[in-house]
Amino acid sequence: MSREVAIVGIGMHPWGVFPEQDFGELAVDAVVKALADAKISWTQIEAMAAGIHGWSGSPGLIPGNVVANALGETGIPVINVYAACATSVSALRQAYQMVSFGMCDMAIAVGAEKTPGGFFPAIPRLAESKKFDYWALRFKAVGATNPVYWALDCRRRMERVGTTEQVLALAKAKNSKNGALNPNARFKKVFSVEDVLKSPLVVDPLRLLEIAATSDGAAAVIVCPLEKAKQFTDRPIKIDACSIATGQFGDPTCRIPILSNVAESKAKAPLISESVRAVSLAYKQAGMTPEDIDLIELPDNSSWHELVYTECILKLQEGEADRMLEKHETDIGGRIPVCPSGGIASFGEAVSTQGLAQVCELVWQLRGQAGPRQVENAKIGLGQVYGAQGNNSAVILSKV
Amino acid sequence: MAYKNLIFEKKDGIATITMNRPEALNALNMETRMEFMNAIADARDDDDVKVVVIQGSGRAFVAGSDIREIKETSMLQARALPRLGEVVENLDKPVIASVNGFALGGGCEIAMACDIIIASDVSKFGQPEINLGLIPGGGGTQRLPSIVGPHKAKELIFTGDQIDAKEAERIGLVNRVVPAAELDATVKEIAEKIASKSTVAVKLAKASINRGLRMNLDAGLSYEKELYGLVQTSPDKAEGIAAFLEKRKPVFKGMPSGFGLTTTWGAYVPPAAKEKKQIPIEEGLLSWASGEPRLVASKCKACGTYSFPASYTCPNPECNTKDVEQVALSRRGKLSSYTIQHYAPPIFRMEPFRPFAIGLVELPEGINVLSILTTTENLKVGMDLEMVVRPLYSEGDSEVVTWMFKPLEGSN
Repeated sequence: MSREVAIVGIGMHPWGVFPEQDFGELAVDAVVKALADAKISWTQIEAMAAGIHGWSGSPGLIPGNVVANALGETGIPVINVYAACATSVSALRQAYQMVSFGMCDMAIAVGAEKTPGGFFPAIPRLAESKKFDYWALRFKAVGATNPVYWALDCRRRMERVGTTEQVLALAKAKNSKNGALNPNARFKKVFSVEDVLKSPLVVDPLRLLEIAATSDGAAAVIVCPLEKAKQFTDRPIKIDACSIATGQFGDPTCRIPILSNVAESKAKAPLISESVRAVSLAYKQAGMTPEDIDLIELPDNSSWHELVYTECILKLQEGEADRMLEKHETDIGGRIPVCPSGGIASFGEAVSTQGLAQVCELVWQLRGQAGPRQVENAKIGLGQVYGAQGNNSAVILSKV
Repeated sequence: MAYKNLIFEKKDGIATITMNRPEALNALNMETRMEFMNAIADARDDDDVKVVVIQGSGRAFVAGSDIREIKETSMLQARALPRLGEVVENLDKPVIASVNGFALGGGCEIAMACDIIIASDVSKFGQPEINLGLIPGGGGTQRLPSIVGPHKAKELIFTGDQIDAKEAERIGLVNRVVPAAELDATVKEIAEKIASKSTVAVKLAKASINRGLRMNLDAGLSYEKELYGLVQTSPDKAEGIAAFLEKRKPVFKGMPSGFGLTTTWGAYVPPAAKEKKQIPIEEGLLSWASGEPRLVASKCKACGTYSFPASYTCPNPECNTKDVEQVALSRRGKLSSYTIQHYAPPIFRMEPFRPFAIGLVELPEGINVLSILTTTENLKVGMDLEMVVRPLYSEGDSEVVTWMFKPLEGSN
């Protein structure tokens, strides 16, 4: 017997680089803001799910307990989850499930990240294994950073549907315009298509301004049963769907951190199969179709991602996202705005919390609190986030 | 290496060692001796160096040994001192002494060990050790008499007198005396002329003369015959003769190090290429079992799905998980996609680093393999490639190798 669930509080620590603060301070800042937003106290929280961050982790990587230690131990269940860059929505799903199943009435999902800066290095092997350590091997033997994988799929797209360098640059230009309006964004400079094309090639054909920076940041989301939400806020936001999916055998995506994959001609699953599946599951759970969606937050780790995920979420033919960008249909004020927050292009990626940043943006938009970047008549929003090794999560949120 | 007491420069095949302690008239101390030997070793090992020039800065070539060091020198230390003359004489490349001032004691001894001595008109020579109650210890009592004769040598060594450049020329101690202002140009001209010759022939000529001087005439002539035979096998000889017959200037290429006196007498045997031991970047990725390098993969016995690196399971959820065998993948494939990375991730070692291409290479087995490409030029999706094993970096006497794909010739 499941209950409908609503978001009653959100909090965000701005994205950036904060060498003086550890991840606990960032997390606590976001949690305190979310508590204030929901007008409740820490002692009212009955359960917590926290995203595990890979980089500056506390011993044993149990960040949720660090937050509980900092705010005061109340004995609540704390669940720590990891799904690479899709981590924080997995945490949200835990909170959502606990409330939906009636295990508790007030749960919080939190993500906080401290990234090492620059390209992600190899993750140190946590347990010695006799089998190949792919995460280190692809760096050591081939030198492939994460953006290499994106560039390889980007070039294949360019070959198939003729995506141009201009379109790739346009994605960044559009998102930089949105980010300039967002006080929580790390980068607030507006870049023109020409500016982007002038930036150096890092992994040809992708340029410096077209791939994600890595950032520190934190976000927290408080959920409770929809029927009780009005006690805490006059603008509750309903969670219509919160899905998780992973990759499928035969997916031809050049997926981090593989050293080999199936040839396109022998593919048995769609490109980015984990995302296609997570989005489909979300539509099914919400009983909706792409036509119902008013705005989208997607993981624009690179300009290539903006294009493939726009098509994945709206169930379009490959190449159609290029046209939408060129016609400014995904701008704020366009037919279906994509990344009104400014996206990862303006935030930089904070691995274990990026999905919750999307949720915060959708909530602000659906509440009508997004200020100068407000999307008109926003009623239903979809957020989708993907993680390495075939992780994906999608949420559909709606105004009640 | 960094030098403190001398300046070591290489230009156009000529290495110049400038003794550079002008405040001490370039007197030899232990530090300078060590630096000098390092510079000579560098010149010896650099195939581009054809001629070495030794000179001094300021008023002296080398005015002798450091008196303060001599004061403390014990009997054993004196015996063990490195003899720079021998270092110069044993170098298998021609050495020119460009004497610009005082060449006294150890300085005179170094100059005498050189193959050619050009002196400025203000230079002075002598073996003044006797004035300190010493005798020459760097070859002076042996080389000087063989150059100027025993009587003249004894006069110079017993009296400790200095002689000027003109007298040095008269007694045959130096090749030529030139005005100080013309010294550098004269030396340069001679050095360039020698550098333009066959380095093989120059090296053998130096060896024949130097060794012959220590033999009786019969042995010396016999030795010359052997070297004359040896020089016939040099490609420079073929070029020299061909150029002469074709009435053109010869282009001498020299020979790789290893040619000459240390090789077997008789026909020239090219030195074996320096083969470094190759270590794969990680065990279990590469196999040479077929004679050629191949990538090692696993193959499902039921559905035929390949995995690289080899996995202990079949990734197809329909299959019996562990029913896999190890196989070697094809070496040829087609470029499915590529990127050029202008950055080296921290644990990746490529020496020297340069922007490099990474490709997704489709193999006939139906899988794509991620691989460095051997070039960043003229890459095109669909082009044919072949797998090779190439070093990424050296570690001691070994080189660490990884797999790369190389465009097949004529593929586009």
